[in-house]
Amino acid sequence: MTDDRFPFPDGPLSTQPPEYARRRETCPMSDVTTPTGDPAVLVLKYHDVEAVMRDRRFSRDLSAPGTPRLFPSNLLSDDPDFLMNMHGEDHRRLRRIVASAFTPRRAEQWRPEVRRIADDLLDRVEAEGPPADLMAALSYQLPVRVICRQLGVPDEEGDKFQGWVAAFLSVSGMSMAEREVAAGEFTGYVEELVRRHRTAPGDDLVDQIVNARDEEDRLTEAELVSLVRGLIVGGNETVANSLSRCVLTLLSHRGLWDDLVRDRSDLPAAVEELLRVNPPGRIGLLRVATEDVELPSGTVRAGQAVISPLIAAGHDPEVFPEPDRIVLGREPQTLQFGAGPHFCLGVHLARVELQEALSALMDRFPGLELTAPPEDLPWNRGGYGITLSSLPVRW
Amino acid sequence: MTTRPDTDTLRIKVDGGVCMGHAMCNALAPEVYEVDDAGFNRMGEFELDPAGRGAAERGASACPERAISFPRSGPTAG
Repeated sequence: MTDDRFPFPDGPLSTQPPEYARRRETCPMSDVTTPTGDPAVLVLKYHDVEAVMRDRRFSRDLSAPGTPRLFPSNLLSDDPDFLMNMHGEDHRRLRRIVASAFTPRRAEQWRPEVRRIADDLLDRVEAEGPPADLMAALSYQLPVRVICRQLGVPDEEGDKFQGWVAAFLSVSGMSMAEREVAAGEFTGYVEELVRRHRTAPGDDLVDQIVNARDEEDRLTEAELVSLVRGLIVGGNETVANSLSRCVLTLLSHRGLWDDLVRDRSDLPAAVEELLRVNPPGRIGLLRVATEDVELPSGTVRAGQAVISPLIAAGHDPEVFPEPDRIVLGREPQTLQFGAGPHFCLGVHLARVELQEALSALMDRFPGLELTAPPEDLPWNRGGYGITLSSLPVRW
Repeated sequence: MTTRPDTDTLRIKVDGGVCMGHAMCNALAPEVYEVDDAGFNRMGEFELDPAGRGAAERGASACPERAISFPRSGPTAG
């Protein structure tokens, strides 16, 4: 029998699931069954994926009883106040409150500080001498430290974030009981953080959100807590995952790494192309059609669930000829961070973090190499993202 | 001397109801698109010297919402 059980296994080195390439050729809109047992439509062509993400008739609000789900009970999809689960005006209202912290200008203002953090982390890596695990020593550390600066908390408090975020994103790796314990600690921490900012106001991102509630009544207390928690979730695993995949892909394409070591001017274009070839997600988020919608490849009926993986869009050979090849400056370059209302809030900051971390790494260790064959690297498949468990290198 | 026909100026329309403040237009073409402190583009409909067409189109195509368009005729009344 044909196996429609979603998600499909990813390819070698956690690349595009081979089933995506097969189905895109034969049946670009196909039926799958999610781990919750719900039917969903899987779209795999660039223009279908883009249309699903842009079209406001597809909703991320899956809270109504009987609505199809992707994974069984998990912290991410069970939080109705989480930005990624909101739709329409409520979503827009909450995004506006934090948007000013994530503009291109603000991201550029962070650039020197991001570079300092990366250099500090690499000081430690170098002092402890090869080999090193870049996943633990750089990829997870950098985004946590940046978010700590944004939230105005000391680095030591950030040490707990990784475990909490892993629990929030876990769909199978941890038991529900373990996740609930972590969620309790995480929420308790955020409530305490908000209390602290109310007692001694400053001018960081938490103050900005607290102010939007206390002075302007723009959000509820539950939304406030969820928003702060969401910022800690949103900026951590995604950047850690992307950064380690960028390093892995570059070290497997030595010529490109060497070119960038010599001349850093193509680095921003390289980051975009690396994110197309090897983005952090394999699945994307499930959306539900609020009415019948015509997509380029066919019709989605009202009430049907749709899955639109970005990695599938990025490997559509009709848009990206020879999709597995890394070619700098490809057009279009707009789907790496999604599209539509849920387009990545932290896009500009994420780019700065990836560019600065890679540049710092190239300055410090131009001869960087893996200590193990890439196909032997360990992957963690228990969460929404598939992440490297470690990235062992020497120099 | 001939006067430059109207079609020489580039007309740009930013749909403020669609803009979500991603500020991609400003990131790719800061010389054409201004955003407010929250990243939202409030420029509405405006004209630009055609020399800026490349940058204007680059910023428009980067918009995750497709909020930027290039109407051929002038603004409609009302």
